[in-house]
Amino acid sequence: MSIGRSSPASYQGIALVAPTSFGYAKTSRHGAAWYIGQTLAEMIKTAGIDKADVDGLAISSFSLGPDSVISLSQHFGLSPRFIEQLPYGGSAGVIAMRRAARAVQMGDADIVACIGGDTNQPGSFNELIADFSTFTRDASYPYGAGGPNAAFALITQHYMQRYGAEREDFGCLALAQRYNANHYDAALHGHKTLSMQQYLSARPIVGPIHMFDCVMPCAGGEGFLLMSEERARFLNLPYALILAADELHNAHQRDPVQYRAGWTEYADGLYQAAGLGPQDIDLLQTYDDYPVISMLQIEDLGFCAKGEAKNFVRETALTFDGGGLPHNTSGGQLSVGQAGSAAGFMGMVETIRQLTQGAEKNQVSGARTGMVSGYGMINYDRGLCSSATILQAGTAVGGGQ
Amino acid sequence: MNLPPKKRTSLGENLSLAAQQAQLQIQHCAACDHWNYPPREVCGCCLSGQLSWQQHSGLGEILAAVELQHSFESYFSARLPWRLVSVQLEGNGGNGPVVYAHCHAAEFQPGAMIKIVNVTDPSGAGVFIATGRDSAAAQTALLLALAGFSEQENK
Repeated sequence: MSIGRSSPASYQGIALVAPTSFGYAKTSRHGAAWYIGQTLAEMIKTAGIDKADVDGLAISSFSLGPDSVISLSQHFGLSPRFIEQLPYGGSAGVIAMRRAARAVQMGDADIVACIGGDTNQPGSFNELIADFSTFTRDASYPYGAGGPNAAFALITQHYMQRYGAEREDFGCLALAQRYNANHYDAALHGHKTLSMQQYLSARPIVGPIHMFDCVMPCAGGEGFLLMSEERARFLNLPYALILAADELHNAHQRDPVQYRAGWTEYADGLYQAAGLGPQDIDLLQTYDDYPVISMLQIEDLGFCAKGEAKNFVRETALTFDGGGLPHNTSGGQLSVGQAGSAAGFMGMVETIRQLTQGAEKNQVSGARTGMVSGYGMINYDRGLCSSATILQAGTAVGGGQ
Repeated sequence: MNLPPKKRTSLGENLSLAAQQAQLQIQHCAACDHWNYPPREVCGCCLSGQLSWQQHSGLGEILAAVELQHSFESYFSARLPWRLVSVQLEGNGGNGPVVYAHCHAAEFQPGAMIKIVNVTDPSGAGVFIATGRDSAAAQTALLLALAGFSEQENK
């Protein structure tokens, strides 16, 4: 017997500061610790704090092994009292935030560095996908699938057939993101434009998945600091607040092919906790490892009905300055690159940057509320993780204490 | 060595052993009658550790089908396009296990009722192939599929 699911307690009093994206490169001779450590150094500098003030580490990385978060404490000369390692790929950023927020609320830590960082060395991506999980090793990799491409091709083919979506619909997402990336200097594809003709005529990869539906593996780091709102104000740092957050994994287990994920089970709760509706969201960051997954998030988070994302993306301006629903405002992974686990922090970091008016050419005018969604870990035939949060701009620094 | 990926988990090796005897065996739970795939340590339905490898009919329905135009594995990249399907097997009250299978027959589209057979691929490992349901057709498709696994058969 169940007595029902409880709701997450308030995240009141928690501030997110110092959003940092570091060192995106197609390949690198450095190790993951370089990306994590350099991201941390930049966050500390931005916040104007001492290294010793960081007493919590929440880290996500695919390429850190054999080291772990505790190895990093010695490597970086830190003495943390809260450590958390989050092997949750595209969902790691929101999950790191949730874990760190509870630690700070409960007094287990004062300043937690939340970082996703990975290197990309020749051949490392192949090694990762060939042995991603036991299920992968036995049941998908032997079929030529080669990583997530085939799993997502099967999901995309099924979605297109079920809901009548067409490649042009996915192209709407890819083109808007490329436009955003054209206004974000760190994007690895940011110097190139993308037309619908180019998108449609791209090299086929697997089934309906073509070149511009795939992310480019790369190296990089993404991170932010989490602390009390009181501390952020004391440090005179611009910050974002957490209005609501939730996660649910391996939901809808009986769906033979994935066409939704855990968001359907808590999206209403998020809006209720935030006192907002989808119409109040100023910008949305979805996890875009393939466009179809962004469509699932747009639907499951209530921006349109199930199966209607094809119309939504055609009718809604998704660019940062289009006046519709700014989506993946730095270009997302599709146009910036997928720096391993850093990709799971990209939406968090970009949203904090936007809400603290820290974006540059791609700043969304007047952005006050942002939603970030996470998804990931293709253990076999579907992504298992789902997470989402609604963030709000904190009181302007200097605007009356 | 230009062979398909051979690496399996120790549990996954059971699929290869069954393939050598031309059998399709899937893990079955003695406690709750649930079919489990991919291979695992405990039942995904009731968490019982009483899983054993049992003969499955192989009957199932194609869920989705795609052609690989690219593969990170040289064996497949030398043989593109390579067709792959996902299949829901019968059992578990209509909620049977989902398997990936090689499927060289383009007429087997989503919704098609097919049969899965377990064969030894050129690396010596067991793999599933989706074929027609009547036994003659299944044999023919199987031979064709095996031919698709090329002259490099090393058994």
